[in-house]
Amino acid sequence: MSRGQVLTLDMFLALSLTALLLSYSGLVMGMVHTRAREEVSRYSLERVASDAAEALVRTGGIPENWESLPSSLKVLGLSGDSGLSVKKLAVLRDLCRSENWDPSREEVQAVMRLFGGQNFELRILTRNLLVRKDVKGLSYTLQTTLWGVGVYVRLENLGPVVRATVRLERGGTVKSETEVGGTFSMVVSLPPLTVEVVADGKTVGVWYEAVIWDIWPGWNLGGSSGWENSPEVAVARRSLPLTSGEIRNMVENRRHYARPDPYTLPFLVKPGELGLFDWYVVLSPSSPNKPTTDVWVNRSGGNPDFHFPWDNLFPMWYHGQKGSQQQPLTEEDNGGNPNNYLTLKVTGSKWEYVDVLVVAVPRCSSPELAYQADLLLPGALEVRVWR
Amino acid sequence: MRERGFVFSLDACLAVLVMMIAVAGVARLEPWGRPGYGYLKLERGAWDALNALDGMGVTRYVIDCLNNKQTAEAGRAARENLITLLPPGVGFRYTVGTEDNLLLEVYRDNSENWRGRWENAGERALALHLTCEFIRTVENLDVLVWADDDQDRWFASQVIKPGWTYRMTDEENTFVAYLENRVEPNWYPDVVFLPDVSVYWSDNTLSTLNNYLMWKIVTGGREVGGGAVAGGDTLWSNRRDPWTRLWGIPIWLSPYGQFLLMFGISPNPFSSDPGIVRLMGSGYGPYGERMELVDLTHYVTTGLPFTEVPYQGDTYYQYVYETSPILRPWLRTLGRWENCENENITWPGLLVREAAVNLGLPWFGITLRFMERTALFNVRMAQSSYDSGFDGVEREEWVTLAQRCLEWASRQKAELQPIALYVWREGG
Repeated sequence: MSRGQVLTLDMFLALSLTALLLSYSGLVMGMVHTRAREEVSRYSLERVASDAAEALVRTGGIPENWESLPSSLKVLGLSGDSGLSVKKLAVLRDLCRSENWDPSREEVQAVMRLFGGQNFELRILTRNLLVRKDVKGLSYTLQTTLWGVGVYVRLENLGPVVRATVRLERGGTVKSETEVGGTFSMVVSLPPLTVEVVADGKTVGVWYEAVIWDIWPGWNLGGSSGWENSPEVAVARRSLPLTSGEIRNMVENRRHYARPDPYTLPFLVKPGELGLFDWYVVLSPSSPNKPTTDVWVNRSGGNPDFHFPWDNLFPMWYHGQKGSQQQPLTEEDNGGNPNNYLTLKVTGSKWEYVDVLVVAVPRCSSPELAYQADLLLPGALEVRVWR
Repeated sequence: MRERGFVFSLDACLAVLVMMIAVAGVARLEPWGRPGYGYLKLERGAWDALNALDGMGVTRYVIDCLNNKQTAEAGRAARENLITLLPPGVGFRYTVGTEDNLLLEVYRDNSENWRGRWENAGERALALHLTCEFIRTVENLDVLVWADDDQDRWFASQVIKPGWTYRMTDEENTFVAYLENRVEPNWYPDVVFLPDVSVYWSDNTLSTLNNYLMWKIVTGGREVGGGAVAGGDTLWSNRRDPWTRLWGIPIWLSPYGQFLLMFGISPNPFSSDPGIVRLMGSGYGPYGERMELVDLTHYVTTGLPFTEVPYQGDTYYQYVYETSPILRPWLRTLGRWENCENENITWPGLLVREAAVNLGLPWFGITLRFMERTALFNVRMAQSSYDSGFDGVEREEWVTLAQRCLEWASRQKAELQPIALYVWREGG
């Protein structure tokens, strides 16, 4: 007989299964929804980083020469004749400086549009090979200074394995690590420098990576962009050749012939550029302490402002301030003609020579960049965005 | 009918199946989020790396090394820079040349089973560049030789490498016929070798040779013309009186004037021997009787085991050439003699001239060439080598230089070469 079937065990089981199925379906729908939202959010963040990096390295921005008049900026782009434009980087760095960052300004809004807001950080890095050696019979020591960081590297073959030791030191802070094995990768970091050792069984390679410029809204020396506190961060990285500065004028092979004749080296500082760049005189002599070279800035007599062999890198303008020379640099318009000059006097034998360069690097950069302004460095642009 | 056994009924099975599908669906949610995004990153990374290699001058350096047969150095430069530019964990294969004729092949670490790793990688990308002005080492040259005495014939036989074919003649009509491809339809010279022409050629012969060396517009994919290597008396014995030419055709428009220009020599109409002085004997000949190789970066001179070549300058002539200022940008002096009479003058011993224009318009099937490559020795190297004065030392060295010149000047040279960069995520 089938009466009372509604209350039967069969019915109860059927209902339970249906309820379970319904609730599970709801749960699944919720999970699908949540995960899809997370994925879309993550994807869009990565897309922002990736597209921003693409726009920065592939285009010069709109207008193309926005760096000459930053208030005209509509779309940000950093590409120059060879790799990134140092001037554009310097202007962007200045725009993002804590004293200048003002979201109500149109050019600042143009920058924010590219990154979808203010949560972004740009890092310009240089990466290069320090040494690459065969494992066979390996016994190698390297001691040098890179970007102000003392670097000690020791590589040894211990028979079946390799031992690598890296020690970084800066201002009393020391980071040291040792790794032993056949194949391994070891990274030691002490800002702004990161050293990576990779052993692949046949060779051991040591690379360094240094952050040349770090830019974020409201940046200041020693500060942090705050991405570390975000649960969702996306990074896009693009490789490219880099120049670290602009050479405004140079003279090669200055020698002492019959007498140490003074030589005048004119150079141009365009209006507004004193605030954008640090300005250096860089000497590249033929031997470590010869020939003796005196340098005057914007004058030609009296006690020299700079003297080699005391030093071969002289800041004329640094962090927006005059260097130790008597006369300051000027950015007054001279009809497009040079508005500053150096007087050089070289003393020594006629076999000794010196190259003298006037170099501009973006404001508050490492002085080491000035030495490398005439080189094309292997580098990378890293765009970091977060929520 | 009893209703027991409901749990095992078809309905229940269907219900369980539906649930399992739902559970499986949730478990499979993970991968559908970002299809192809990693590939995009990898592809951009590969393009960036190739562009950065170009921007930093590494590509040019790699090609220069390959041209100079420094394959190991080319590989080192490419590998170290690519490891620097590409992220860790990304495997790569960098090649120059086509797959059936690879000139360079470089991997991050090793080449073992690269194709398997490439094909099995979850994410992979390929970036391709095309570069030009690359010299392919010529294995099967066809050389037309003018040899009009025993020394020339002997020297030419030393120069011809295994695998090369050659036709040798001292008869003008045959020489012209070969240049015009009228003798053997399937044999056409890649390069002409004139070690020491002692015959006064007719204007027709000179014109035909100039045509061979001069510009060509060719459709249908077939190239004609090629370069030349000359030495000894070749330019001297064919000299014309410039004054007669001045009243008729200016010398630089005459076949002889053009012939001189082909080798980068100035056809000076105001000199009785236009652009050339011939000297021999003690006090006139070169200091130490050795030619010094002064540019070791050229294809012809790089990697040679010697930097000085002895010459019997007291017995055989040598020629002082006045180089053309117009063609100076295309001229390179690879070897020099020190002149003991006047220390301020150094004589070019081995001059090479690059192709002045070398345009290809492959999409229209057109090749435009204007002034093919030439090399010029200022000595009678065949005669001096044949002579036993230096116990065979000079012979090998002159032969090697002549072989290199023939390879370099041959028309089998400039080819577009693809540069490919395969990248993939290791362990993907």
